[in-house]
Amino acid sequence: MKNLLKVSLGILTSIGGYLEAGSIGTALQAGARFRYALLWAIAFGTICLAFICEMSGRLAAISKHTVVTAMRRRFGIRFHVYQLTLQTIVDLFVLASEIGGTAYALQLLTGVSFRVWALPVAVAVWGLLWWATFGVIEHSVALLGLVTLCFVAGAYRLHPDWGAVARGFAPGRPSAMAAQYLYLAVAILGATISPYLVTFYSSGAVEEQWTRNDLAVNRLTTGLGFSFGSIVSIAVVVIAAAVFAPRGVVVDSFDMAAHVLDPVFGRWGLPLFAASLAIGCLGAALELALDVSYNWAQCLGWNWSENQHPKDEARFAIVYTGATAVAVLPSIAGIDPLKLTMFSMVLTVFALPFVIGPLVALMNDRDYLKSHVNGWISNVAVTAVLAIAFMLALVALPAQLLGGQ
Amino acid sequence: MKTLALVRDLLDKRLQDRNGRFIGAVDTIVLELGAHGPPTVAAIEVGAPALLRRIHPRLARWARKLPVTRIPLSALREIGPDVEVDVDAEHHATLLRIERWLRDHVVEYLPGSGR
Repeated sequence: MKNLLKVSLGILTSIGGYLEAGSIGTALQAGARFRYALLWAIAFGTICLAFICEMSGRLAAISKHTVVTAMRRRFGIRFHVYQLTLQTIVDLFVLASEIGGTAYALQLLTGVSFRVWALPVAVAVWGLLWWATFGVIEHSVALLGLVTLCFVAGAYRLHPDWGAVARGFAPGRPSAMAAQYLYLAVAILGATISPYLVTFYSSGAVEEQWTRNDLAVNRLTTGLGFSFGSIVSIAVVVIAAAVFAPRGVVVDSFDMAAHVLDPVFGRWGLPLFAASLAIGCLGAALELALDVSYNWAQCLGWNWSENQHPKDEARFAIVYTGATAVAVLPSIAGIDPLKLTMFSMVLTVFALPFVIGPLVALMNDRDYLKSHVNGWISNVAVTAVLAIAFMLALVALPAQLLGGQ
Repeated sequence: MKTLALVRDLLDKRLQDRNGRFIGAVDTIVLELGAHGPPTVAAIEVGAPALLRRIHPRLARWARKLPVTRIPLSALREIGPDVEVDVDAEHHATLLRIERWLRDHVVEYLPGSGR
């Protein structure tokens, strides 16, 4: 019974917390340009994410270490320093994107520029972490995030051709705009396989002192949670395909997408879209700022906890303060949040093999996992998706930069 | 007799003081070469200079003013997933010095830090 509750709460949190700047932005563009043709990227990414989160939960339950602590210990600081640096850079870019996304949602609602909203948003992110602590707000943000289910309702009401939707899950060759197609595929993979979720998930498992008795719950929560969560992303693609693709609208800023829900919800379309964007991005921003602190604290052996008061771990609090302060700058400077998001997602894909790859090696080490080392399926699945994503990125980035439309 | 592999079982593990507070990690292991007999493992070191020295000497030079603490091996209590040492970090001269400085000079001045 208690386990059932745990799994349900985990699934709800995954659904409510699934959408953020990256997943909304990439899904809107994919649907508008290629209808359902990129759904496979969401599916591949989700499978990979579920596998690596399951791994990090299993690692925490058996070795009592978070991913970061175990990495430093297993590979030593001379290797881990690169992971730490890379993860910090990626987190800062994605954090900047989420702050931008939240600010842009407020611009859609109020008409006041996101450049003006950026600072209040960053202060709110920092203030919630400083005063309220994440443990307290985590579930409320995720519950508010259930507003994103309006995309699922909307997709259903638009009566798409479900056969065509299903065919999108098989990778195919685009008829045109190959460079754009590849680039979007990479961005979707980056948006789906978020390395910060892995740190986060394993930290939660350590804080809740998981044991081997939690392994079944771990499997269910990661498997079902992310699958259900990805439905929201898929729904965004379906809606964008129905609303934008027939008219040939290209979504190159969140502004273009503001009225995507209007055909279903009428005058409630814009507020629902903006609320989904704002809450999704805010939730992710909180996690990302905290993730920078987690990475440093767990690597360097500081006390850390999502319920930590700033006074009890000053360095932990100073790190997320600094991260938020840096990440607000691009939005204040007026860099378009969607462009920043796309860049951050592609950057994530380049970082993935270095940040997540070593986790696969660690998961095969009996010193840490005892008899619970990876089976061949998870080894192959994760390695394959990471390798494919990285190679796609190697091809897609030059193609995109050369302006191949 | 239990044996211990220094790099596998000790280096880079997190350190806890006697109150269960995390105080850093085993950044270096120090061996002592006496006039007679074989070298002995004498201490572990914690602190940015010790850690950075392993990455690059120049980084260590930049950080040389930061505190580094040498903890004798005799203070090690238990070597499990983490390493427990018999010190009280909160009242130690060099351990947690940056932490305490930030707490007293930065965090305290921001509202709501204590709650």
